[in-house]
Amino acid sequence: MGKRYNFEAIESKWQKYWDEKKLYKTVERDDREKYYVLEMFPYPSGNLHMGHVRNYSIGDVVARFKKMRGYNVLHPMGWDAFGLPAENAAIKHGTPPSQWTWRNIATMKEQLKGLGLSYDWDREIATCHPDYYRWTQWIFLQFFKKGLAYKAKSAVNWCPSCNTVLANEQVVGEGWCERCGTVVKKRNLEQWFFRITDYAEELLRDLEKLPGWPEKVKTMQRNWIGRSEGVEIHFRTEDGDPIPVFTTRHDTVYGATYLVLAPEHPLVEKLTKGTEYEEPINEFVDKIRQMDYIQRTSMELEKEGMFTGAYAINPLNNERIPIWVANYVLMEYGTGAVMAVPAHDQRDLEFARKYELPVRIVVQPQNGEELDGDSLKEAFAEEGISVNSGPISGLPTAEAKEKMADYIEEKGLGERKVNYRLKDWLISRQRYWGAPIPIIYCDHCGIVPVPEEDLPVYLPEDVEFKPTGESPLKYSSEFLNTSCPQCGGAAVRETDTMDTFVCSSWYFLRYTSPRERDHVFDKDKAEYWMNVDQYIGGVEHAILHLMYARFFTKVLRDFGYVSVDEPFQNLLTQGMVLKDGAKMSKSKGNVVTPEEIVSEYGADTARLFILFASPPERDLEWSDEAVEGCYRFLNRVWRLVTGYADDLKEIGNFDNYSLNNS
Amino acid sequence: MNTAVKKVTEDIEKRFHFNTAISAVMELVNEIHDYIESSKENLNLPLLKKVFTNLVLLLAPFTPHIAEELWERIGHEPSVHEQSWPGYDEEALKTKTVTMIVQVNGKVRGRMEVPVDMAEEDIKEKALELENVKNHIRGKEILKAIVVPNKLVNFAVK
Repeated sequence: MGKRYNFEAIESKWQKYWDEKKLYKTVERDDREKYYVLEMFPYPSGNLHMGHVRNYSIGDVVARFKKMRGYNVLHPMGWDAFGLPAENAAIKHGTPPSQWTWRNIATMKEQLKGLGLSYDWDREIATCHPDYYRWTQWIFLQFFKKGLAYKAKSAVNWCPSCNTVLANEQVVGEGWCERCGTVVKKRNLEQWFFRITDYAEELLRDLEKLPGWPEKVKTMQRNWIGRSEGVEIHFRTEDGDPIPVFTTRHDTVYGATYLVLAPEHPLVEKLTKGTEYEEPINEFVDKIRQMDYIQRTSMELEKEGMFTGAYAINPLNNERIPIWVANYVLMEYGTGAVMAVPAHDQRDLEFARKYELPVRIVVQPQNGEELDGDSLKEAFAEEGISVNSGPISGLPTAEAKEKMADYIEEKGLGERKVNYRLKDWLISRQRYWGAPIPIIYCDHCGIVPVPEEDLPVYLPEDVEFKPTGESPLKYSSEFLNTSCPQCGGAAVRETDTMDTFVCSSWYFLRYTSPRERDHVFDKDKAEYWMNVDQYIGGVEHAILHLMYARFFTKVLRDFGYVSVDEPFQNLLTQGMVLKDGAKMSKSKGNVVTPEEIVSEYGADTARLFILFASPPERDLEWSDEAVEGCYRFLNRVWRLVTGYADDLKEIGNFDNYSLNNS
Repeated sequence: MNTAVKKVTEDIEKRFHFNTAISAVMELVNEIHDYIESSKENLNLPLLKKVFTNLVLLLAPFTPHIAEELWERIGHEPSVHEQSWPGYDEEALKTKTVTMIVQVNGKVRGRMEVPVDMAEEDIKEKALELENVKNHIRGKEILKAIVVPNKLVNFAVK
């Protein structure tokens, strides 16, 4: 090696040296404090982009620094390797998803090594490896045994373009598929769910145990859990069928002038069957069901409804009020039935004016202004003084709420309830490239879990790729047909696979003992390494991955496998890499690939630029000049130090003089 | 050196402000350069080795390859990544002072002893209290004050 800063020679020389010496191999040791730094593992798309480089450079500085500070540092890397792109590639190019995925992993691993990242590659995991997904399946079985995994028919989000079901969290913006942007539809299907709602309260409460998380992420999680305190009031039909209604404004119950059911509400059919309303209502309900999610939840939605011909009884004043069906009430929220108080809710008011339903004031403003139901232009949704409201008349809103809740409970007309926006996690996917759900259906025994000793349920290789709505596994007879573990009779396997977010909900635990053969992970090793001291990734995972990983940690704690309540002690959400003010993307043509920068300037310059250009949480604007500047700086350091290298080699041991004399 | 180590350490550890940490390393490189230029005939090689050693240690987390190569070239056994992070003396930093030159229109009019990294406003205030500086400014308007931290302050007057 000559005098010039020959980054190519230097970088390949030392990468080889580190690899051979296993310099970054980590084992548990008691003489040092542990430090677990983790970057969110990538999907093996086949190419590293600048966002990856930024994410991993940040993590690498932390890992190297902590190691030099005397910590025993765990810094692993792996692959979030199941998912749709592999199937799309299979359909397009005829390459089997597994081949495509493993080839991408090999490419990306080389790219990562070329950046000089200090990973302990002996701990590498891939979620699509049978040694990994057998434990994902094992976890499913534990959930199933404890009643945390269940099957139910439900109206699910369906992406007509991806031909698959989406979790609520994967419906973004105004009802678009997170992956392809297509407008999401509703469909009724039998699906597997995880009972995350059992943990809603703890997931909310324990956010307070996370001072090392960005406030923004915690707020997003709080909003997603969406806890609200209110009262479930027992309305009923004239025939006595119960219609429970959840409301946070039970102080306005005397102002309810009609009741609205979601089109999907099971009572709709019963109420109209055999009446003159049956046909028009059915047509109306069908029409709304065809509507996009986008329209159903939009505030600008033109409210549409239809009278069912039936009446409900308000249990507080025994008033008879009409029951309507309307497009603005969703089965997924609350009980799917709403008491409409048009004077004090804007959507109800718009609906009431359109269909000429009565508007009754039951809260007057505190400033003495007198509202009138007939002339009211905008609903009065603020706090005030209750009027025309029986036991709470004359009370200010806060007090009225308390008293009304007490009154309703005393009279047995309903009860206080906490409602969550968070719904159970739909984990079924009608896809091939995922972890098969380890369930067998037997005509005699029903739903039978695969015995643990039979895991893994392998993904077969002989599947056919057709972009239909059904899982390609349904056409694989080798996979499909099996015998019942209980009675031995002929039986069939579940063909749905698990949402890939299941696989990534526990990978940080597997890193602590990645080659463990007999258990999901080694409990002692997990005990030594957990929690993750510093987790680093994109803010786009604020509610999906980060909520699910917290949920899994709590469930595994309750099963006795970990002792921690939370997986990630500190969270850093790094900003995006922009060029010309926009996120780098192929469609905008503003992409700079890590490869071109590394080959032109070297990995050290790429790392230095990306770390120097902006603090990690902020967005980073790409600048060719700044890259040049970093390259010049390293050249300067090179000339400065190597200029005296021969003289300094002769100088004796550094430890002989104190640092403080400088 | 001490100042740079402290700055880099705290920027990484407390705030993850890698950008300012790297700035501090760049400044350190400038200072080393200036030191070499100013004492070319009379270089203290043991001191230079110590300074280079620390510089390479500070660079190691950011640019691991070049750090490893330079580490070896100045006569250390690999790997730089298995070394301890350089320490710094908090006390020495607290009590340390520097002599700053005070100029008026580019001419030296005084010297003063100040704590290391004193704030610019404090430096100006203190400089304007010097008797000789007062004499040269009296009756004139201060157009601009340029502060080179820990080195000099120059008042442009008219």
